[in-house]
Amino acid sequence: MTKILNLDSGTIIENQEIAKDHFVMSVLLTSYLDTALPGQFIMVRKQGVKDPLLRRPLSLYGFFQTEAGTVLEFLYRVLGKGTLALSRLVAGDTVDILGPLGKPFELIEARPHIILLAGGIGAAPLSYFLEYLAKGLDRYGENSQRAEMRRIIFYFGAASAAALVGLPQIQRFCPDVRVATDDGSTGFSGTVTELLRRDLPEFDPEKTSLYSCGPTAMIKSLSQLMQTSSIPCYVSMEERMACGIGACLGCSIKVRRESSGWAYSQVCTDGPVFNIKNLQWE
Amino acid sequence: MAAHLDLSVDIGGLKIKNPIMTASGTFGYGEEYAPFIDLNALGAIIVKGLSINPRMGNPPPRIIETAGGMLNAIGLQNVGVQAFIETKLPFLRTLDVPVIANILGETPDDYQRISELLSRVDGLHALEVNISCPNVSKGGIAFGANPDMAMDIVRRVKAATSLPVIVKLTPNVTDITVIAEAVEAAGANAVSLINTITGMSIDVEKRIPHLKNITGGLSGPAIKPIALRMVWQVVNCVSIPVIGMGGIMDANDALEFLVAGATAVQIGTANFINPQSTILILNDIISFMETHHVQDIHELIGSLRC
Repeated sequence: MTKILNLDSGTIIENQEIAKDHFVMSVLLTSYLDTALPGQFIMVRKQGVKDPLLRRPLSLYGFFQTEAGTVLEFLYRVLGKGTLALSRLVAGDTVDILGPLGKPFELIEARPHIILLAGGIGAAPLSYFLEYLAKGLDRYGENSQRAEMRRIIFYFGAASAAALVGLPQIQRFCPDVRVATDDGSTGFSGTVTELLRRDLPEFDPEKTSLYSCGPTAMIKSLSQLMQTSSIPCYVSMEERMACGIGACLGCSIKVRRESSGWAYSQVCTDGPVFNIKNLQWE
Repeated sequence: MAAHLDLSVDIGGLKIKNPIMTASGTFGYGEEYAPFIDLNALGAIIVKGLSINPRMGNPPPRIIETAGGMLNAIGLQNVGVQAFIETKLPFLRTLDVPVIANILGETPDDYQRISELLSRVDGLHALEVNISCPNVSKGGIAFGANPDMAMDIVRRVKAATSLPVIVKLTPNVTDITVIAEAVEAAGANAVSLINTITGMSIDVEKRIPHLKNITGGLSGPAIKPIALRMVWQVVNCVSIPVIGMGGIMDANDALEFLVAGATAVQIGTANFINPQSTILILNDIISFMETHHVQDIHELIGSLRC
């Protein structure tokens, strides 16, 4: 697969608050874009403004071609002034687009049982991945020979039922969604990793792979849980970024190295998807 | 591009075809920007700061956006001089653009050794001596804030290389002209300024600094008036070329530095926001020259009336 770096602009079709502080934004790109894979991200910025200064990395929530052109979808949570500014954009506004960037989720075709495990807004890239898998696509966007053998289990955890943003969309594409809430307002009462721990014996480690995205605390507990498992596990990581293309070195995280113990890797170009076994925790 | 215009400048013996350079630490090792621009169109490329040994850099979080700028505390993460020569320089050699290595050390001896190593290889056209990084515990700014230390380092680098030597100055001093005069006296061929301004930002919910390093270097439009003032001050006290930088986002910003007397400019943080910033700024400077019937960029350099 050739690396595609796209510098473009786009017009907002819709930017709707679907839950408190959570927005879905659809952008019609000015130019045609061939592929944008699950796990990849886009650096987005309102065109022509100097404040906020930097673009914001948003993971892909949807990607499709229409008669009018290529459309990108983002599900994001308002966290700071960058996402607040994005949330105030309306249909017709123009945004600068850089991407798709980063490494996508690596689908292992030989493992037909696929666990997707999301925490909070981490559901965004996994929801796109789920849709992609449900459509029977392989890691390059082609029709997969093995799609019919796939069994997908989507674990979704959040603080409360109201924070399970994007759940209906996930349920549309997956008959086996398992929900956990910290406050017990719906589903399993506890964290989503505790729920997975309970279920783990159910999965054949030879046939299963696991993909996850969520808060660092969740990834950390998942990392502990998967230490004793032979199920390959890939996680999408998040860090603040300035450039998104490996130049600023702002988004470094600790990754294990055989030679020197550990070194910093860039979430933007070495990730954002990492093998969980390579993550080095403090 | 209008062929009749002359944008070439001389940076202490290094002739470059136009005054647009990339600021060290914002342009990786050049390759990162190859998908976006024609690197050969630049005046010069200054690569990420190099140390004798590879440096891990600082623990994250390393960056935070602030009003009109960003704070960074990368901590000079770099591959080290040997890996640079082996893995990064071959690509840079394929380009038809001067490449300047930015160098840094924890001791004056480090600067000397790294200068010797880089002078032995092909493909480099000048050295930029970083005595101004605010984000490392040893070296960096400590050398750039002390005129005697700064002179010592410049003398050692000059003794170790025949390449033009540019000294990158810190704004985190009481009087930047004192340091500029000191490095000129020690033999510097040019000075570049400003490096970032030390700053801080706090998360009041958690009551912790936004950066793990606590403080970081402020860059971006917020620092441009300070940078411009310092460039103007230094231009008026040294006779070597001055390279201006600090918050240049567009051609108007770059022209301000040139009019203030900078012979060339470096584009930094703007590269993060738009990877084509350097070329857009260059093209807009050319348009400005055409509109204002300026044949030679030297008609603009130091043309400030006051």
